[in-house]
Order: sequence, then C-alpha cells, then structure tokens
Amino acid sequence: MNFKSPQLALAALLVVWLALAATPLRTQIDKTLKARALFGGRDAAERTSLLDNPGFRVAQEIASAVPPRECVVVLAYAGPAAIDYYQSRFAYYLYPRKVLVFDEIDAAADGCRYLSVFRDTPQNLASEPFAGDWNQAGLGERLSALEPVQSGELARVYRVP
Amino acid sequence: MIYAGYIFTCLIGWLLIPKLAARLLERLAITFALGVFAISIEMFAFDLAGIGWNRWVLPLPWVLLAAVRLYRNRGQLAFVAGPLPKWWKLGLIVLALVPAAVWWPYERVMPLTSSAWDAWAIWLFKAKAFYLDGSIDPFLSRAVEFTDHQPGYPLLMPLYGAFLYALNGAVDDYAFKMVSVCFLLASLGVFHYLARRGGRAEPALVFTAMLASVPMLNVVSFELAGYVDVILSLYVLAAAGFFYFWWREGDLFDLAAASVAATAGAWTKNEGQFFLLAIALLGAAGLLLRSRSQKLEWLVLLGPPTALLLPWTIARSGHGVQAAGFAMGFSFDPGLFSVALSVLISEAFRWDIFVFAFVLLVIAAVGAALLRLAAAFWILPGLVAWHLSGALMAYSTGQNDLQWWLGTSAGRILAQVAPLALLPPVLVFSQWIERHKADKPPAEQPETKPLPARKREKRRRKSR
Repeated sequence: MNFKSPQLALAALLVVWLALAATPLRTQIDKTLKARALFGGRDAAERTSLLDNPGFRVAQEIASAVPPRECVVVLAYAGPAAIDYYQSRFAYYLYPRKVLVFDEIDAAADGCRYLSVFRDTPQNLASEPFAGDWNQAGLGERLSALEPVQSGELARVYRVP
Repeated sequence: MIYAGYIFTCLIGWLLIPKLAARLLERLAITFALGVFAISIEMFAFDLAGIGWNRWVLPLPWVLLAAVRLYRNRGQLAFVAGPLPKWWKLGLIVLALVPAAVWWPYERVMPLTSSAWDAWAIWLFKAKAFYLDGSIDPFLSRAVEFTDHQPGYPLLMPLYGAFLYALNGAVDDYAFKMVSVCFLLASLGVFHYLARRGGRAEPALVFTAMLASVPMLNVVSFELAGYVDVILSLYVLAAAGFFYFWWREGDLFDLAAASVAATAGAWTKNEGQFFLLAIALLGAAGLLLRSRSQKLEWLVLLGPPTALLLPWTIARSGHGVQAAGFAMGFSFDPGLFSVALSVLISEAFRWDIFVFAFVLLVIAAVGAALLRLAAAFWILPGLVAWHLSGALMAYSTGQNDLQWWLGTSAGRILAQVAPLALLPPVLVFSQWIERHKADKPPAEQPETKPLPARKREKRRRKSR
C-alpha cells in the first residue's frame, strides 16, 4: 500500500477508531467470561430457567398439564410488574393456550377449564413486593371445589368442573 | 436444521440474482438478505392462497427455479475464483471479523433472555405462533389477547422464522435468534459492495472493518439477538445505496434493487415504512425530472411495495388489527421534540456507542461541499436525516413516557442508520484519493521517464 496523504489519513483514522472500539470490546470479553462461568456446561433449558426464574419452569409444569388448545387462569403471588411480565412470558411459552395471569384469588375463570397457582421466588418478591389481594384460606376454599390435575414443584394445576 | 436453513436462504437469493458483479462474500451477503425477503413473501403468498406450510412443499418453487437455472445455464456453471486478496486486505477482513468472534461465545451460551424483551415478546412470539398455527390468521384473529405483542407489526422476521421452524419440524428460538448475527455479517458484505462500487477499494475495506466494530451495532446483533434493528439497518443501507447508484447512473436494476430493499425494510419494521416513503418520493421526483416517459421505471419503483403491502393491509384490517406506525403530526409537542433531539445528538456522538460514525458523516458532508461532489451524494446523508426525523416526530407525539422511550430505543434508532452513515465518508475519502492522484506531477510516473542510454541498449539486446 503506497501511503500518500489521503491514505495516511485513512490509516490513522482506522488506528484511532480501533483504539476507541477496543474499550467496549474489552468490556464484552469480561461479560462473555462471566456468562460462560455461569452457563457453561448447562443445557438450553437449564440456562433459560436460571435467567427466567421461576417463569420458565412454571410454564413447563403448566404446559405438561394443560392441553394446547385450552385456556388457563394463573393465580400468581407476585408483584404488579411481575404479573405483567408473567402474562407476556406465559403467552409466549404456552402458545396456543390462552393464558390469563392475576394476583387475586377471586379472579374469574372466564370460561377457562384450567386454573393454576404459583408463588414467586423470595428474591423476586423482595425486589417487587406483592400488592394484590391474597387470602390463603379463601384460596384453599376455592381450590377444594376443583379437580387437582398436577402438583408440580412450583405450580399446582386444577381442572374447573 | 435451522443453520442449514440459513445456507438454503443464501442459495435462494443466489437463484434470484445469478448474475451480479459482486465478490464472493459480497454476493453471499446480498443473496442472504434477498433470500430472507423472498422466503417471507413466499410464506405470505402461500398463506393467502391457502397452501399449507409443509416442509416438503415450501422448498418446491426454489427447487423448480434451480432446475430452470441449471437447464438454461448448462455448461456455464463453473465457479471461477478470483485472485487472493493482498496481505493488508486479508488483514482488514480478519479485523472485520474480530468483534463477531469476541461476541460469539457470549451469544452461544445466552438463552433467549428476558432482557431482550422485544425479541421474544414480538418477533419470535409471532414466528412461533405462525408456525404452530400453520397460518397467520389464527394469531391475528386473537389479536385482542396479544396487544402487548404488537400484532400489527410487519411480518418479515416472523414469517422467516416460521419457515425455518417448518424446515426444522419444531420451534427452536435459540437457533433462530442467530438470524441477527447473520444479518450483521451480511451488513458488512452489503456495505463493502456498495462502498467499493461507489468509491475505491481501500476506503471501502477500511470502513467495513470500522463498521464491524461499531459497539451499538454489535449490541443490537448479539445482546439483543432476535430484535430486527440490524435487519432494518441492512435494508435501509441497501435501499439508499442502490438508489444513489440509480440517481447517478440511471440503471434500471439499481432502481429495482432500491425499491425491493426499501419494501423489505417496510416489511421488517414500522420505521422502514417511513424510509420507504422517502425512497418513493425521491424516486418519483427523479422520474418526473427526467423528460422522456418511463412507464417501466414507475412500475419498478412502485410495484414491489404495492404488491406486498396492500395485501398485508387488507389481511390485517380484515382481522381488525390496527397498523403499527408513527402517528406523525398528531399532538406534536415542540418541548418533547427538543428533548428527543438533544438525546439523539448526544447518543450519536458518544464514542463508546458509535465511535465516530456520525462525526464522520458530518465531516463527510463538509468534505463533499469542499470537493463539490455531485448532487447524488446528498441523497445519502439526506436519507439518514429523514430516518432520524421520523423517529423525532414519533417521540414528539408523547405516545409513551419520553425518558423511558428514549432510553429503550434511541440507541437502536441510531443503529438502524449507522451503516448508512458510514457510506458518505467512503465516497468522500475515495474522491479525495482520486483527486490527490490526479494532482500528481507526471514526473512521478515511472513509465513516462526516459530510460538512460545504457538501459535502452540492454532492453534492445534482450528483445532480440
């Protein structure tokens, strides 16, 4: 390459550019090393459940009990923003099932033939405290009238008669 | 199978434009981008026609096209490899791949995360829904349930995802989010093709290496894998680049390429629809300025967007789904406009996000004025400004909380035009080099020097 003034300017520009771009790239290398330390050696489901805790595993438990074309009401002991999050996340995981997520034990079944109950993790509740209406005795009364379908590690699923 | 689908996509694009004066990597990039668009149109057309998305039926049109191409080009299929690039060019190519190599291990271990909200909540959700339903209709008819998932957004990525899932026989969102990485690499190839064609080889390659290391472009391709911003950035770049060539040279192929790329952008994201409007208006202005009647040019300019976006509008409206797009002109707030403008400017000039990309655009504009470049040049920075003005108008409507909105989208909006912003500097640099060479005194040319008498005698003897 025969360096004359425009070419020299081009080469100088490239060097300065790369020097500046190196800093974000170094940050990325650190992030990559951290991510590999956390996720390396785990399969895709384990990695997803680590990042989406407990959403991914709750959805898996509901999916195994509720047929694809059915509708399920999910009663979640979770904070308000978490309820919105679970609504979107379960819609994705459980499609084509219709999913309705509430933080109230009296939420109407709205024609759904399945009902599920789960409690958010203590860590999530610490950062996003519960703000709904949750009466454990009232919930027990409501669930006693339903047919238990599955009692998973994180979620219980019932069929509405 | 999803990864095989990416290769199949390149083959489809290659079948559509078998003769293109581009180098191997450039062709791979262009054919991938074209292949994705062609596949999404095929999926949409099949769905409208009531033909199921069967994994054996979907490749049939392409197999038939391949057979036709093979028959017509029999005996001419040998691929002739060009000479190996020079050492410094190879070095720059390797340099351009370093950021992707640094990001790749991160991408390999990261699942579809909750931080990349739009990826799964909008684009991959619809891909999954379309694949599981075998059609776009069931999802659209349930649109009221999914208002948070933007059912009115355009369909390029969801339909391409549904195609790959159909080939795969199952949903694999982890493999499909890699489409963003494929589009980043394709952006480099398309950029190099346009820069080399519009300017000179050296600045084209140097700027391609620089583009590869724009931090925000890497973020939207890897950390936000599954978002469509990098896809839109490629189509915006291609539309602007080909349109520039058409304005400069008047070749119908360039106008067709610009129109197709702009339509693909509009089929990718709502910001692309605003960009398509610019291409249509500029194209109309260009055709009106030319004296003779040009029916074919009008058809090439307006045909692709009309043929695709009109049926989509009808299909969407039929389900009562509202169009996604900017509500420009409604409740415009100058205060919000000035806040959004200052945030966009400060983000654009942050070196840790865009290095010098937008600074170079400003310098290129000054350089172009000093060098008195042709009017066609100004189309490129003009389209960058147009794209950003569309976003500014949207921010000014106050549809969302502005600070939140800017915080989640300003960087991505700028990333959509970052490759395009680097194209004008290549043209200016190339022109500078050209003029510098032209200014060289003839004495520096070795061939023009008179040979000494002894050397002349030696040559004469050798020639005997």
